[in-house]
Amino acid sequence: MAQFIKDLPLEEKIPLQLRRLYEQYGYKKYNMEKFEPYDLYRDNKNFLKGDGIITFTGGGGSLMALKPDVTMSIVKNAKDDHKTEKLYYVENIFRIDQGSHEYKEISQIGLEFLGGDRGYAEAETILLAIKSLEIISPSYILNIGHMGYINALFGYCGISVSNGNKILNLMRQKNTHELTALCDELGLSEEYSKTLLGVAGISTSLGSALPLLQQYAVTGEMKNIVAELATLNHILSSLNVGDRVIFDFSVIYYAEYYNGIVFKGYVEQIPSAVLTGGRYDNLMDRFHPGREALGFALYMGDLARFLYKKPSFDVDILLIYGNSDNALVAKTVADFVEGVGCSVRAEKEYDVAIKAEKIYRLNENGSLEVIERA
Amino acid sequence: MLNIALPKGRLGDDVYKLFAEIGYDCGAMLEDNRKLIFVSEDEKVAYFLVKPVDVGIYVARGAADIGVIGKDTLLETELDVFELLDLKMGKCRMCVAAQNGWVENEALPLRVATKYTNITRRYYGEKNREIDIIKLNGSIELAPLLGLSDVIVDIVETGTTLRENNLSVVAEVAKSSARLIANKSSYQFKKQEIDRMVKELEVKL
Repeated sequence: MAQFIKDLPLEEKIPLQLRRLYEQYGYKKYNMEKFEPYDLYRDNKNFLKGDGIITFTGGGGSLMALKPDVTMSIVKNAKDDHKTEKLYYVENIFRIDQGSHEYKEISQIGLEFLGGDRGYAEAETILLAIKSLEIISPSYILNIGHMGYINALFGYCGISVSNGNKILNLMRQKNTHELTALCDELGLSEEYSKTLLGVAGISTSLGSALPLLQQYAVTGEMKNIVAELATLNHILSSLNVGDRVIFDFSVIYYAEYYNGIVFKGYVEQIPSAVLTGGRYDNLMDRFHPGREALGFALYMGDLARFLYKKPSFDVDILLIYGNSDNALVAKTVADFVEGVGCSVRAEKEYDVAIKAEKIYRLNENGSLEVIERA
Repeated sequence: MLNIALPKGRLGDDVYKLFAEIGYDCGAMLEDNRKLIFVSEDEKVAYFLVKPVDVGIYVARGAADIGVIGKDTLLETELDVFELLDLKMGKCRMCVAAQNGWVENEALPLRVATKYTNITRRYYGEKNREIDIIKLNGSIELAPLLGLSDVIVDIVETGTTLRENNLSVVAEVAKSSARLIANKSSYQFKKQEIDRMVKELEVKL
C-alpha cells in the first residue's frame, strides 16, 4: 500500500499529503455543495475575481450557480457561536480562465482560519502555506505583502481609490518607471513619491524588509503592522522555515477582498503562482460583523502538467493466458497481486499497445514463460 | 540559463545588440541560418526569435523567462507579467485619428476601426462614450476614407501614412516603447540575475 501511494501521480498524491498536514494541525474537512443559490455570488460580486459564473435554473425555479468560489461558502456558513473555525477543502470550482476566456474547471485545495488571535492565526496560516509548498517541491518561494500597510500609506498621501488602484496595478507589475511617471502626473510631493517608490521597491527576505518597512512607516497603523510582521518573522525564524519567504509588494491584490497580510507561492518550473492567500476580514465582516479570517488556496491544475513524470509502463506484468483454464488464470493473477505485490493485466492475446515491464505467457500446464517485448 | 524571447525584426536586432553589450552575447544569433533557438556557447543565455505579438505569451506561460515587447501589445493583451524596464526603443504613440476636418456626431455611437480592440474598449469606456468597434487586421487607415468607420485607433510612428491619406491625430491614447518583461514565477528563481541585468541596462540607457 505504501509503495502504491508512493507511486501515485503527483496530482493524486499531493492532495493526500496536504490533507494529512491540515488534519495534523487540527483543520476539519469542509464539503461543499456543487450548486449554490446565485444570490450569494451576486450580492458579493465585489469579492469575486471577474464575472462569468455559470448559472442555471434549479428544480424549484430559483437561479442557481455552479460554485465559482469556496471561501465565500465557508464564510457564509461559519458558525457564530464558535470562536474559531479551522477548515480545509478539496474542491473543483468553475470560472472563466483569464488567459483563454473560456470556462474552466479548476481543482483547488484550500484552508481557512476563521476568527482567532491575530498573531498566531497569521503565523500558523503562513507556516501551513510554506509546508504546503514544501510538499509540492523543495524549490519554492513564498512572497508576502501587506494590504493594510499600503492602504495606510495611500491614506497618508491622500491618494484616491481610483488612483490607488492604478498604483496597485503598477506595483503588481513591478513597473517602477510608470509608477515614477504617475507620481509626477498626480502631483505627489517629493516626500510622498519617494516613500511610495521606496515601498514599491522592497523585495527581500522578511527579516531584511523589516527595517525598510519601519523606515517608510509614516503612520501609527503602519508602525503597528511592522510590529506584527516582526512577530511573524520571529515565529518563522524560530521554526527555521523563513528562509524562502520574500517580502515583496508585487503580491498585492485588489483592495476589496484582502485587507491585511497577502501572499503568493511559486514553485520552480510552474509559470504562475500555485498558492494565493491572505487576510480577508472585509468579506468575513459582511456575513459575521466584527469577525476576522484568513486563508489560502492551492491550484492543483498545473502541477501534473509541469511536475509529474509519466511512468514508462502502464502495468508491472502483462499475463497472456491464451487457452489456459480460467480458474488457473485467476489463481495466477491473484498470486502476482497478493503474493508478489505487483500490478497485473491479464489478456488472452499479446497486444503491443500495452506497455508492461515484464510479459509472461501462462501455459496450459500452469508454467510461466517470459516473452520478449515486440 | 536565462531564456529570452525577442521580437523578430529591427527592434529584436537592436535589443540583441544592447543585451550583447552587457554580457548576454550569443554568437549563433549572428549566423545566417533558419534556426529558431540560439544558445550561447557558455550556455548562459538562450534566445528565441518570435513574432512580436507572441513575445508576451512565451513569457507569461514560462517558455521564456524574460522578453521584450511593445507597450501597445502589452496593453492590448493584459498579460500577467512583470514589466521591469522601459527600454526606450521602438517609440511610437497609440492615437485616435480621423479624416482632416472630421466633426464628431455625439448623438450616434462612434464607429472605431482598430486592431487594438481591448485598448479601444477601455479608452472609450473610461470616457463613457458608446462605440461600435470594427476589428481590422491591417490597412486601418483605409477605414475612414471609405466611410467604414468615423475614426481609427492605431500606432503612429512618424505620421507620414496619416498625412499622405488626409488623416490627422485627434487624440493620444497611450505612449508606447519596447518594455522588458519577466515571467512572475521565473523571476522568483532567477531574481538575482534578472535584477542585475535590469541594473546594467538602466546604466546603458
